Amino acid sequence: MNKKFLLITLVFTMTICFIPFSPIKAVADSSAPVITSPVQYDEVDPYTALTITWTAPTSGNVSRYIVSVRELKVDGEETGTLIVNQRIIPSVTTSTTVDAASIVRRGYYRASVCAVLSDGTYHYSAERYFYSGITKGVQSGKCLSFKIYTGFTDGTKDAIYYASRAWINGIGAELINTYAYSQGVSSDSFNNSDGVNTITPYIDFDAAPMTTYTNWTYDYQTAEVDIRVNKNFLWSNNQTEDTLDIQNFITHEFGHAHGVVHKHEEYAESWTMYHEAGYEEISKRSLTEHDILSAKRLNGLT
Amino acid sequence: MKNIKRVILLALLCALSFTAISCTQLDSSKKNRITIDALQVRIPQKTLIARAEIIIKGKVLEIADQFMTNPDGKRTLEDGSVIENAQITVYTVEIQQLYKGEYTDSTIQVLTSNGRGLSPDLILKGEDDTSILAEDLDRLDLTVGEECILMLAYGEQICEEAFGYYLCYGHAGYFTADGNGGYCNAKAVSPVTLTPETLPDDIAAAAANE
Repeated sequence: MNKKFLLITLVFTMTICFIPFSPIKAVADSSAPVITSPVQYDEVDPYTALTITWTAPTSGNVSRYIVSVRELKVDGEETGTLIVNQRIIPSVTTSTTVDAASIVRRGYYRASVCAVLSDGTYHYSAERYFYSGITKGVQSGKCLSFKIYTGFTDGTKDAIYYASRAWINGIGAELINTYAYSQGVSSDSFNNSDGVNTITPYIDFDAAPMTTYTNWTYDYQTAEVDIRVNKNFLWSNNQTEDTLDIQNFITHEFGHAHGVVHKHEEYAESWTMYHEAGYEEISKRSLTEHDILSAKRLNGLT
Repeated sequence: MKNIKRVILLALLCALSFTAISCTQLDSSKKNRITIDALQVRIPQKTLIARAEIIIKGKVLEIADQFMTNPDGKRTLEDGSVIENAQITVYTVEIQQLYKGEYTDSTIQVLTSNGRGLSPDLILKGEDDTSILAEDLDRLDLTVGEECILMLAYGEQICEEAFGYYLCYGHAGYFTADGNGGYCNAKAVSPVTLTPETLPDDIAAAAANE
């Protein structure tokens, strides 16, 4: 009998014993380059040349690199436009520049670098995603001081104040703030080119709950911001059922004041700058590291 | 000599014109620009159903009325853009099945405008007909004879008093009867799908959640 049985048992036992020592984890491709700039989900300056840099693979003899950059979306709409199409870079170089004229839209981009080894094999870097807005952040040396509609309740005014503090504390710089409540604006109308930053109510049965109007200069810096709160929606600051949280929304709008654009991707649902919000939602009150990174980058704080 | 002077004068004029044009272009490029960002709201499908006061399956009988929103047909939107030939259409819809709500008439009138939804101040006609229940569905593109599902909700009473129409804000919806298409003017978390087969269950589930 039983030699066969013993043999099978032996093989089975050995297999069981060796499973824990087997290399079951996927091994990173050491022959692929690693993109170091831009960092993942970075927000880059529009109308500015962008340098893509990477580190050389730790193994393999690179004969050349191939770089591709694609514009994936503009304002949430898919475009898929190639802006750098398989650019060939000599193996001694580990960076390339995307022309300033190529990044001029409110877009979502993807970069990848491929190392071609001398044995003819192709090794791709992890894809790197980044965004571009329209502005480069608040005008250099300025702080946008907001005048709040005096007719708002104290609860709403407090919510606006807390929203401003979230950004000031988050990025470690005061690029926005709010006037004392008594120095607000009494009119609910607004003018987006009078140099006065306002938060005022209005009513529009077709419009979104809250809208930010950004007035930006010829050199892409934010000069003035006006935020309008649509009274067609029910607002609260205590998560009352079927209401929108005023602080949640204002925190998001202050992100635009810093130059940060909407994020439309699923992975960004928890970010303050995600393009949608729900009823009773308050998660946007707290900035994520990505929101902070974007605002810092655009305003020269990194 | 005269010719030389003329040439010099002409060259001078050309140089001046060129400089002037360049300066003008420089100035125009230095103009500030404006960007508008709006944070949209999203609502789960069950909430939309719960908020809808009337949900029906109906058949479009006729176009009851059609008129321009303004005498010149133009409508200026919030962002400053202008819609030409902004037109309002009122459809009469025969009710085939009432899934939700209380509604006793055999027909319902549904109102839409091209381009984008309309605001009460643009409803210039129809004030005399206070019996109309209207909905503002800016992508509603009905054709006579078409069957569809409509998700409706009463708006503010003030609109009826002022303009003779009830308006619905934020959660009106139009869906094809076969469930293959549709549109809801509230931003939903996921695409809203309403079909005659699933509607009773959807409504029951929404009611259970309330």
